[in-house]
Amino acid sequence: MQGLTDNEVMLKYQQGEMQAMEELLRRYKNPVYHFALRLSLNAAQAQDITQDVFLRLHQYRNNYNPERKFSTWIFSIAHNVYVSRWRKDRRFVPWARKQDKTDELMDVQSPDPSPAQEVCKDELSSIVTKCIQALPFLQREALILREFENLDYEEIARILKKSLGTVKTLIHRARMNLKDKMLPYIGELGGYNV
Amino acid sequence: MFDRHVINQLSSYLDNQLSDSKKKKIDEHLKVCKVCSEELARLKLVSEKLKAWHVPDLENSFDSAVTTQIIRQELERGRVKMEKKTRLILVPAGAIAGILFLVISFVGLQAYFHRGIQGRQLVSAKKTGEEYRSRQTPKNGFLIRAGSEMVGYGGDKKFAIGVLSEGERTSLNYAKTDSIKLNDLSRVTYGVNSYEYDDVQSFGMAGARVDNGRIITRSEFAKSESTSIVATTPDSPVIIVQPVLPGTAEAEMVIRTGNVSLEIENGKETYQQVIKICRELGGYISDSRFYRDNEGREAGSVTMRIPKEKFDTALDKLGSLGKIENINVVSQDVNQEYTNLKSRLDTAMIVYEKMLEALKQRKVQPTEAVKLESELTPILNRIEDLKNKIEYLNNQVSYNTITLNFFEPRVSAKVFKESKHIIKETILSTGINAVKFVAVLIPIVLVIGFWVVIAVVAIWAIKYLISKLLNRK
Repeated sequence: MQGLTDNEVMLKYQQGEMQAMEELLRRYKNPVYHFALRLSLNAAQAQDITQDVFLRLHQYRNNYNPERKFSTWIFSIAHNVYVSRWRKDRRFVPWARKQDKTDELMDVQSPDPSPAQEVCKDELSSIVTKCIQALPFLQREALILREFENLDYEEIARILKKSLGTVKTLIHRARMNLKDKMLPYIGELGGYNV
Repeated sequence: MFDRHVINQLSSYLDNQLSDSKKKKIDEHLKVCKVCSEELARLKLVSEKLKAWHVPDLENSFDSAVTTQIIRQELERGRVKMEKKTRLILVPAGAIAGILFLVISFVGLQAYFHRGIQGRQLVSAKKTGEEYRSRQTPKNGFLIRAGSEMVGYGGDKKFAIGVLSEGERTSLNYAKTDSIKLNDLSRVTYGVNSYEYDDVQSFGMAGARVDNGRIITRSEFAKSESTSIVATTPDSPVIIVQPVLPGTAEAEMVIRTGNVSLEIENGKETYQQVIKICRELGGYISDSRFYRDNEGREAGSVTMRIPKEKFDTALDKLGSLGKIENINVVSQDVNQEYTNLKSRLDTAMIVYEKMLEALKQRKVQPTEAVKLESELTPILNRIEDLKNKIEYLNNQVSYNTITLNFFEPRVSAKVFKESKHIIKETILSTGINAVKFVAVLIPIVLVIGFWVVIAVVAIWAIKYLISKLLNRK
């Protein structure tokens, strides 16, 4: 299995070989998990999303088109799973009432580390997390797919179901926004000498 | 070379997503433009710092968790498939079973309603009983008569009435028979059980060969010389078996005794009606009994004497008071006995008159006169005795006896009838209400459906607009 391409392994899985699933898990569980974790900043949620992605892959295995790149297909599934979860969670967010003293509530510090704190163990990671979190969703997702998963613009356009031009704009704006947010911190750390 | 800054394309340049020509132009521009070069350096730095953001990997147990979930999903899918298949079989099977159950229930109820209160009486017997009571000649059947009594009936190839004898009592019996072939009227064979009266078999097996209602040959009038078969009309062949009684100068001397058993609704009411009928017909009650049994059912027995010409009317009227369980009519021919008595009386009178004349003509001594008188006394007694017997016979012939036994059924027919009526009414009203409900429901469903469609379209449009707005952001 190891010598086969992703597409070939997926075709084997379509034919009913359970070993192919093991191989796909070995190859893609961490990329999908990292993508979900960077988007959600929540390890448990990211793990659930990753599991859902592989279950959907199994469920819709016969829909896979071998002419398409496997990585594009699996990240499309991950994108859909994340978006559907995000929509579902958003429905249950209650409206803040005027009389609620939100500031006081927010000031209460939990003794346990937050999910974001767990993800960002060092200072740089913490800065990156803060800055990325501040980006609009689509910019954030496009940038993560580009910077961390090394997908080209066409693949990202297919995953996000956007045009190539839109993806270019999204990534450019994301970088510019991030640059504006990150440079002050990077300067403090002594890494900015331009 | 670009005349103005190329900052907008630096991101694509950094990711190597530009064509060669564009890349070359930007390279040249960067050599001369300090602003763009610095911007590119900043973007590179940001990209490098981003890549330093490491996140932990998944635990090894994740693989087995996913595999387990997949197996569970497969099992669930298999179960759902099986359920679908089972439903595909069970639903039609259940529907068929339900329809069968309804049909069987309907047929059963019909049969139950038809069979009567106790559910034990045959339809044919009931019908025949009614026909017997009304004394109507069946359209496609035949009657067998003994004197003025109808003792047999056949029709529709299904059943017939015979006459069973038990000593002097005769009972009407309903029985199925296959021996009647009414479709083949050229040969009608009908069996009647033997009928005995005063130890003499009056008639037994009867049969006839009939052609277009005209009797061609008689057959098998076993042990009977006094029976006859008469076809009444060619269109509706009716066979009458009539015992030919020896002719007498006097009127027909027959003592008839009727025994009627009735299943009635209300004991007291029936008792009162029986007395009323008896009085209206000029009869009188000779014996009556009214009681309530262990189960609380009212029952009674009335013995009445009815003028002979009203005997049939009385039977009809009494039979109409309830459901006939049994009717027995016994006819006792007393012509011979009457004639004998009369002859003996005449003889006795002749002897008496002759002796009286001899007594008058002779001049007898007182002692001889006493002797003659003593001889006349037994003759006088005998004449009185014969007169009494003749009067008794006259009384018995002119007033016939009817004994009516009546009793309430175990299940009240009235309640049953009311229940049946209520069920019918309920079914009818349910049907009407269902139609009304559907008539009201249709416009409501249409109105609601219209507004649901409008609402769905509106929600979809709002969602679409919101998603568009979010994407713009």
